[in-house]
Amino acid sequence: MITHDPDVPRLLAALSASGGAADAAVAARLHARLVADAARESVLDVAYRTVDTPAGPLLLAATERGLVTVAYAVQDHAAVLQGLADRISPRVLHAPGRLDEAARQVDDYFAGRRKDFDLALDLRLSKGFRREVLAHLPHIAYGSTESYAQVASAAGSPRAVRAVGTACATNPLPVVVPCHRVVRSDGTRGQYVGGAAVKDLLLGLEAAA
Amino acid sequence: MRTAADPTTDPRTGTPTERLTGTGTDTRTDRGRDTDTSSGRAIAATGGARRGTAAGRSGDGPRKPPFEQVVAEHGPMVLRVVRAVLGPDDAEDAWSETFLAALRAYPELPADTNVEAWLVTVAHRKAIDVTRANARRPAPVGAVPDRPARTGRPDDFDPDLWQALAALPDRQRQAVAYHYLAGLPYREIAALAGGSTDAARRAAADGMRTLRRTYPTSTEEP
Repeated sequence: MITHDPDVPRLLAALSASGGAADAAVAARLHARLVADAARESVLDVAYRTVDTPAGPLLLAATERGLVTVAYAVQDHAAVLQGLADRISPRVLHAPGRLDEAARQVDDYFAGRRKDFDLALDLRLSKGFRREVLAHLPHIAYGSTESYAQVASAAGSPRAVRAVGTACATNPLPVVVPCHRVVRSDGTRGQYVGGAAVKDLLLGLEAAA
Repeated sequence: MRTAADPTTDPRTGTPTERLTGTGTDTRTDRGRDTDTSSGRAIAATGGARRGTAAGRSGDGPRKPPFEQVVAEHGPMVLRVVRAVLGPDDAEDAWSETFLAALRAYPELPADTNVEAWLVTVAHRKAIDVTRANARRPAPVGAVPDRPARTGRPDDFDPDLWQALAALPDRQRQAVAYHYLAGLPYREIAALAGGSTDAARRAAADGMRTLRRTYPTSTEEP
């Protein structure tokens, strides 16, 4: 019996190598087919893609109800996807086609061509008062701002100023639900889920348009 | 005989095969090379390493990664396995059926399941389905070339290799694929395909011995 048969690595290499570089094309084809099959059978619970913007890559994720998450790179996209798997469903797939329209509107927004988003939204990740706050935010017009105190009043709890801050900080749909338009009463911008520099960028973009 | 059939060593990595009894976390590093890091798809795949530490609201216990990560980590392995078991013609159908079934069942899968072994189990069943479906199809008429020309399919794997694999008894082909390509221990192969652990070990060894003879090296082949 041979202890080190040179044929074994040869066979393993042959079995494992198969199509070589073409395997990337096979993998892409199989992945696309899986996405299509999953959508047809309604087992694609969370679809996601990324879109490049002046504020860095944005993660977009949608359920069958609508856009459910927008996340900046600083939020750690892998961690955000894990959070979606935990909180909504682990049936999460990279399915850019399902988010083409959202990506197009985000592109248009950053290019100054769009002032309002017209997308179905799934607000299930936000509950209670936070959700009331998010419901108010789209009423703050493009290019204008409100203070945290004003938003608290508009959401029906004038004293819940800090809670408005928390609602904005945990907004699952930044950019599309414009928490960047909420600033401090003294006129300084305050914090932002995507970082203060990105808040400046968005407010500057809207002021210029 | 202690060559290909050494049961204590993962033939790909030289590490003990017992890792498969764990939760799979120790397979992450050596699977990383299979992930496509050039696209957005890889986002989920990179999440595995920090699975234990990522901030989450779902509380205790192991967390189930996004399915995208399962596809990225294990898709290439499953494709190699179904290619070896079924051949290139049916491999993609079997892969698709396997991952669609896995996606469907994924939410109910216990979070500490060894995903790799689970996928091989699903793939094994789907391969049987595909084989049965083929058996029901009418037999090809007349003399068919050994291996029909497969034009326009640049991703086909070596037709000589598939010919050699196809000539093996099913048990041997399965044992070779599940042990050498999926890293399954023989006792799990036995549980999957029937028979004893020893029989699974013998089937893999016999299969490899035959392949050594029937799969020509490039230097031998004109």
